[in-house]
Amino acid sequence: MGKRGRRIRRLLLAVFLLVVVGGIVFAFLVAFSAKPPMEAIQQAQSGLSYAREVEAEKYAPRQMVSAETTWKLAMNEWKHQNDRMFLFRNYEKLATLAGTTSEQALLAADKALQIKDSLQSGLSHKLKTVGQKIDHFQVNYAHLPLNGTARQNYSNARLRYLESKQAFERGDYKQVGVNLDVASQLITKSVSEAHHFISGYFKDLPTWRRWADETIAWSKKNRSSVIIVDKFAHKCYVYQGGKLKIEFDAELGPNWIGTKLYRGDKATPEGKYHVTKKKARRETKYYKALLINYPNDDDKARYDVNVKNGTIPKRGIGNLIEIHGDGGKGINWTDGCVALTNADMDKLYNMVSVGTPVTIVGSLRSMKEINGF
Amino acid sequence: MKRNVMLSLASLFALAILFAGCAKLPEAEIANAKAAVEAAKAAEADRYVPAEYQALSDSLDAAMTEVENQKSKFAMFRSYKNVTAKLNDVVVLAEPVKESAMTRKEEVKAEAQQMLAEATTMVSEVNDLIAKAPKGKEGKEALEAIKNDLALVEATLAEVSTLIENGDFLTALDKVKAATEKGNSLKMELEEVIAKTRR
Repeated sequence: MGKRGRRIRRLLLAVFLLVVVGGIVFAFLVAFSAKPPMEAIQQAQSGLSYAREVEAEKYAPRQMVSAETTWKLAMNEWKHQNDRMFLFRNYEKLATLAGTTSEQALLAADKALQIKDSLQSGLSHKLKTVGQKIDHFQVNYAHLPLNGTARQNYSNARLRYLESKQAFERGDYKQVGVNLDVASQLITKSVSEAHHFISGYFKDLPTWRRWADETIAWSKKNRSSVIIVDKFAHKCYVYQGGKLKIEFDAELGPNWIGTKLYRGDKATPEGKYHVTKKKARRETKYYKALLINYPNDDDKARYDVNVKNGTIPKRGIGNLIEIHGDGGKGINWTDGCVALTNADMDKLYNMVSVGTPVTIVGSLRSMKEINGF
Repeated sequence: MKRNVMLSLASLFALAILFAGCAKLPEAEIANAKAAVEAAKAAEADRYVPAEYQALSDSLDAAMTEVENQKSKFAMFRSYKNVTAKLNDVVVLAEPVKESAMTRKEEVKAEAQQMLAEATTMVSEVNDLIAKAPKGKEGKEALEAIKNDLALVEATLAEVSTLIENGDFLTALDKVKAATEKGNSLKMELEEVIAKTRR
């Protein structure tokens, strides 16, 4: 081996040693270089997953957006660090961001659960309340000849309420909230409108009670039969000797709320009357009938005042108000008369005579006694 | 001299191994997995099968984290073998999730459509009953009120049709169920009145 050969050999040995030493140094650097905070990252991911599971996106959107944004920043930071040479990587910021993501995700999840729980119990309570209002309207007002939008609002409220119930059953509380709020507003409006309407009607209650008391007292004094019709209760009572003898279900004119004012208003009059004629089967198309003396003096005076004031059309006051048969239809269908079933009409017909007092009142009971309001 | 040549070759071989050992990022698998999850979402899996979609989405997130984890390692020590398997699993998992969502969606759609058809039939039955109901003085006002309510039911059914067309089957189902209940109550009300009138 020549001098040159020895030099090359030494050079190669030096290169080899350099590679080996370099390798050792490199391995050392790799072993001690920065490592990504995997535990914090996994925690952040679990936190986000849990938050999504409890629908934080829907029920705590602000908190969830914060958590998702921080997570995106964390991932970008991780990518940024990974793009750097391994010796210069620093995962501290990533660890902080991952930790913040975990906190924000848990906060979002907690908030979502809280809101969901509160929505569930709040909505369940509200559903119950709206349901009760709807039932209350159905029982107390739906059958009344209400003016305005009360019935339409009630129907709309009922539809919205039923939709809300469906959405509640499948856990879509956001949807429940939207429909239930509308249902609640509509039914509250309907109840209030109906209540206002009925309150106006019931202002004559003391007069009605006085008429009824006077009629019963007359019956007692004269040991005779009298008829009292309670329009609100849809009842026809017969008193004998001041004592209630029998009661019948009664049907009225469709606009039975309020007294009769003029011909064709389809209202049943309120006042103190008496039977002027008993009509047998051949004399009426409604099985049998008891004609009363509508209009009485009070009715005529009211009609004159109303016509003078222009509050009603000058169409005539109307007449031929009767208690007659052919009832039992389940609706208020007469032109202002009181209709009983034919079987009840037979009984009533045999209990009264021409001259029997007939007192027709709006109601014998107050609104509070009827529906608790 | 021969020994020197051998040493040089060994060094070169070591360097070659060093670079050949660098694993390649499974870009195609990542793209496939992401596309599969997107496809499941497009099929509204998040709405119709939320639990399954959540599990799928979590699997993708876990795989992507693992990708970044591997990228954090020195090139020589990276291995995308497990990640590739996970990403492939996501693609495999996504298909049944998408199918389930589509099936559930179709079920809800079919239910909503069937109920809509039944409700439409019921509306025409109620209209027939209105025609048969006592007219004139015997309940004209009551019929008007029922007609108004029926108009409300019809308006709701029109909304249901629009919702079905727009693909919002769950809301459509809520609405059609409510409309059906209301329509049935109207039908019963009318049948009762007609029965009483015929006595």
